[in-house]
Amino acid sequence: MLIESNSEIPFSPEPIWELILDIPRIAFCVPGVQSLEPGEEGKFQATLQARVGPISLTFSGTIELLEQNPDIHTAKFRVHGSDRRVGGSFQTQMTVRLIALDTEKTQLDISADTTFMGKLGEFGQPLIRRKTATTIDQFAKNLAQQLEQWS
Amino acid sequence: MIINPLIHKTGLMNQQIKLTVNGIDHQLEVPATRLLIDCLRYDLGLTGTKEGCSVSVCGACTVLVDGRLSASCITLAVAADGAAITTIEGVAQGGNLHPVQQAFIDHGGYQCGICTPGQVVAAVALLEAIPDPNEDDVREWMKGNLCRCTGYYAIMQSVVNAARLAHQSGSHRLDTGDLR
Amino acid sequence: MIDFQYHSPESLAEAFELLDRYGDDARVIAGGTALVLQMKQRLAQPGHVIGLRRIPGLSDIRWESGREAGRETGGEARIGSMTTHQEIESDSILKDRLPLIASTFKQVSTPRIRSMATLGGGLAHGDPNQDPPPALIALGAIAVIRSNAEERVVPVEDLFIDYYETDLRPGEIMTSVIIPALPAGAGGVYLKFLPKTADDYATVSVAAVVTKGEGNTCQDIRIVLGSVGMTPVRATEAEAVLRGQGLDERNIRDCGEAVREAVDPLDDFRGSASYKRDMAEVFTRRAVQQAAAACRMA
Repeated sequence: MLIESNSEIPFSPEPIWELILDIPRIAFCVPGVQSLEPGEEGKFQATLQARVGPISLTFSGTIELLEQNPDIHTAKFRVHGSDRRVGGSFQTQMTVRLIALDTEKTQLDISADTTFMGKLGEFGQPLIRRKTATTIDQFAKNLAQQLEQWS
Repeated sequence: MIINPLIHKTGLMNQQIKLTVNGIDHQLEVPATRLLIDCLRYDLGLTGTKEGCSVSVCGACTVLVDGRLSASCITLAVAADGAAITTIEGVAQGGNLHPVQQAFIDHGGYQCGICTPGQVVAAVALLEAIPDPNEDDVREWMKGNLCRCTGYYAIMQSVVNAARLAHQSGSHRLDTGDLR
Repeated sequence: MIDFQYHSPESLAEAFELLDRYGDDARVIAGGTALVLQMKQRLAQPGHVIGLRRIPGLSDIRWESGREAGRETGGEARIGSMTTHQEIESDSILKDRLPLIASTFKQVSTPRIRSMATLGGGLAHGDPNQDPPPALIALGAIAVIRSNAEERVVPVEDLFIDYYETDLRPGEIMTSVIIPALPAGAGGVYLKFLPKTADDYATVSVAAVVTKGEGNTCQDIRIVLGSVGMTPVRATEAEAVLRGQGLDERNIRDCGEAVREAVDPLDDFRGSASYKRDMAEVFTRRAVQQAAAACRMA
């Protein structure tokens, strides 16, 4: 499942780029992230809670920065998470790209290619797609808010 | 009574319930997780009720609970405590086939037979609710009982003719002790 | 299924006490057609399940004739939350005075599910693909919700917050739903577009209630769609297109077109988002025409 989203952040690319590469800070911009710890080989262990009404999924997994190209402000992450209780997991290859629109305006493009396994594969992919799109929108808002607090 | 050692040794917390099945009272001790279909099949040995889809869509698991059509695969046994349950084993009365059963035999309403207990129980309930159903009534009532073999035509014929048969013999009512 | 304890309280007070005691770890069960499925898939894992079937007074269907300022008004139906779909579809009072309700509940799934699933359980589930909510909202239905502390009423229109999420708060149980009679000169219809039968949920569905004024005008109208978003959708802008206007072909067509903006359907096996949007328009037109034709003259 491929989800693409673009949003506008009212900052120049540089502070956004810095924030994106700082996994501990950027991870907490993702709605539902509950914990983050550095692991081996530059990976991070994280837990994330996602809800659909009364159905609650708690994923634990890893976040890893795969590549980064500062010249074109593009970074690639791999995120993996599983919920043992429900018996489902996902794996995402996420590409984040910044395009300067103005001195204080940058376009944030996120492209996330996700595979669902186990229960999640069965359970309403269209709904997951919709919820993920909402999550990404909220992520962009949180990111802008983080930058505002730090500037 | 068939005792399934795997089920009885799970160590789950059990609750006491009473089920009246086909007119006979049973006192049972089951965990809350026990589904009615498993209770009927394994705790009581009544294996006539079949599990098809496990998600209440196919109708193979159809039983009557207090006279109402029910999917036993999504009914908790503990939630049926105190209820009167009719399974396929309770459809024949006093050693005589119910008109529905006779009609299914006469009109070839089954092939592999896996959906048949559910079809028969549903049809029995139909004749209780609508003693003189037309084809639309049958189609509408039975739409929750899926069949992979017959293509439904023979089932339709069986049910429509069961109604006629019941009128002739005057005996299409189940023992009212089982129904509300 | 993960192990749990089943409770069968015999009064609302007992049920509230259990809900307060077990909090987040408890789920209420009515017919069980939604919850048991979720529990079998381990999507729900409550430690305590509270069954409502032994609580008296939750399965009545009553008609209360109204009286306001000495005048008899249309009246209303009060339906207990544990009433099954089958009881609603076959109730003679409802078939006579609220035929839209009886006929909508009869369109749900199969007779077996309808004899298990309840009015309140269905609403509490918060599924925007179900049939009853659009019809209930189009009729202005109101949910009566009780807790230990109080009783409150919530229009069904305001009950749905998100997918599987309703305004039911912890410690609360819906006890009944009140449905006012159609005003004089009104007619209603519920259309369920089901081109695929992989499951029984509509590709799109539309409930419309039209009140005719003089000279074939639309005095009032309510249009509510199912399966077109995260909750049932009341198409208020589309309603505004017709309200106070003539019920002619052109206005009805404009009304249908306005529905396109109101809906935000998911792309899924029941249809693509764009197909559902097209069908929302088509079926709104048809629903409005049929509701207008069904208007009972005062």
